[in-house]
Amino acid sequence: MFIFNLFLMNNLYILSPLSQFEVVNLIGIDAPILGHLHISLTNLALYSIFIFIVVIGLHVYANNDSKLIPNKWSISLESSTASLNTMVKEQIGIQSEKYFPFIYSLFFYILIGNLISNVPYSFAVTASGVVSLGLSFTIFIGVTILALSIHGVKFFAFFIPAGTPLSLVPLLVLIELVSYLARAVSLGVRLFANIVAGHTLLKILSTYLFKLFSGNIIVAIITLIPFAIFLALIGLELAVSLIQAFVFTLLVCSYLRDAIELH
Amino acid sequence: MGHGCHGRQYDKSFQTDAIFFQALSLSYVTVDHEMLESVPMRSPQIFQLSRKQNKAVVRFHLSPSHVLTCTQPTLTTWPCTSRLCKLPLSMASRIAFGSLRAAARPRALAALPRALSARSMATNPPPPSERASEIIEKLPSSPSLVTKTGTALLGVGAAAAAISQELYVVNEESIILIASIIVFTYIGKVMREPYVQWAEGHVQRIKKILNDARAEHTGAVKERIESVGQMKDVVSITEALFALSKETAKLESETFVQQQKVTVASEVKAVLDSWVRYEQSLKEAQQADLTKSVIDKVLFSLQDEKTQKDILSSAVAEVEQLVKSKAI
Repeated sequence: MFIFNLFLMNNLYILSPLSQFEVVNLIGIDAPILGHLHISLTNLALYSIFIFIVVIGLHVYANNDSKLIPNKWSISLESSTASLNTMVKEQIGIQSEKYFPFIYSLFFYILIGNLISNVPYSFAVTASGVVSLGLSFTIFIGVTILALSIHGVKFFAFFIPAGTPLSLVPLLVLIELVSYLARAVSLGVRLFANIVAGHTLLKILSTYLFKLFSGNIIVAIITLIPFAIFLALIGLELAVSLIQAFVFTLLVCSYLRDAIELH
Repeated sequence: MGHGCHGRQYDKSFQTDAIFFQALSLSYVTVDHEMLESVPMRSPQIFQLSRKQNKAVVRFHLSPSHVLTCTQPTLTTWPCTSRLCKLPLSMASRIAFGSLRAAARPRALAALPRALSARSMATNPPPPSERASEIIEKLPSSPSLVTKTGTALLGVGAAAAAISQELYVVNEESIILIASIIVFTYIGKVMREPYVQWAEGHVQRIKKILNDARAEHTGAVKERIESVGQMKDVVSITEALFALSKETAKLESETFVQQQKVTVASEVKAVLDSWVRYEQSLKEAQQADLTKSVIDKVLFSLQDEKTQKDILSSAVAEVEQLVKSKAI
């Protein structure tokens, strides 16, 4: 019976490719005090801490002791700062300096989160709906509050495109409102869906490859061909990590510009 | 003058299916005839060629049935008159161009002389023994072979133990691990050199800008110092000029006073002169009047006879006097 179970474990029990995204408790305190206290460190929290440490560590290390002449590390950071600054300036305009630190932090958080998720055996923080949608909803609410504080009631003119016939106003307001609200979801879902899709694909393919490599020697040799494609996909995942971080921040800039300028 | 078999010096005899030589001239690629006399030679082929240094390395393929036993460390000589070993220029060139076309990249050609001197088999992959020793060299430990073997054994043993004890489970994630290591290493290798060049370029550009700015600033400061230096005597000169101007003013005032005095004096003189002239003219007029009156009186008195007589008598008396004195 035990052997049969082992056989089942080894051959039939395959983890879902989505199980890698599950948030699990690593260490926790579950005590019947203070209204049943429950504090736990999840893998999500642990990797968020890793992201924080890596981002801070990168900036401390690449600070190059605040020297005027950069070294090979700090020049990369300076270059990325300059690129981001250009992007923010192009998108937001003259008030870009105010929002640049926020955009910069957001970019590096998402970028490092995505890159850490590419390390084998790690956890993809940005593939978590809580993180991605939490970020996008927070930004959406913040941007809306910003627009209301700048424009007051005039903000609602945003939902009526210029030159709309009066009869079409109710319909268009509805459409524009839905489109505006959809931003909150689309921003987060875009990031989370891309990362989930990439990691799931790699997981499924690696499962197949593992099965093929575990077969006889000829099959294992032939499997080197799909393995080459798998290598390319890992490279693609690295590119997606960078692109998604860039797209996320670019869209946040665009929403900020809408909030500041109202078209 | 050439390299020995496979570019190495051998103490002992060895066996090979191909031998490599390096000759100094393209006109005749020569091989020691003593070694090759008994060897049936197939398709001599220029293996490497450097026109610049006029060198060629020739590979002679030997038939498999004639495995060569070589006892001499250096196998080629120059000059060599052996008929068997001579290759005419045209043939050598023809073969050489065929080889050159294959390796026609300028970088490869430029690196050829260096490769020739360093290793006669530059385009050939290194022998397996060298490759193996390179891999062994990469193992982390002190240079001795024992510790390297130990490291390799320990690594393999530890991995095997970890897998057998299920400390490490080989599953699909291992595939991702291996693939990731390959991709990360590849990206690291590919990106490293261009990134370093780009970063160095940027750093040098920033350094140049800063150094230029520093030099420009130094120049500006020097120029300023020089321009200020030109004005270093300005205080003393100004003081001297002020003293001079004070003196000039004083002299001018004195001159003015003197001029006033001169004017007054000349005025006074003019007045006095006119007075003198007046007095003189007055005097002249009086004298003229007096003279006229005297002449008139004398003329009047001359008209008196008594006077005329007195004069005449006195004149006679005088003449007499003169005669008496015998003056005449």
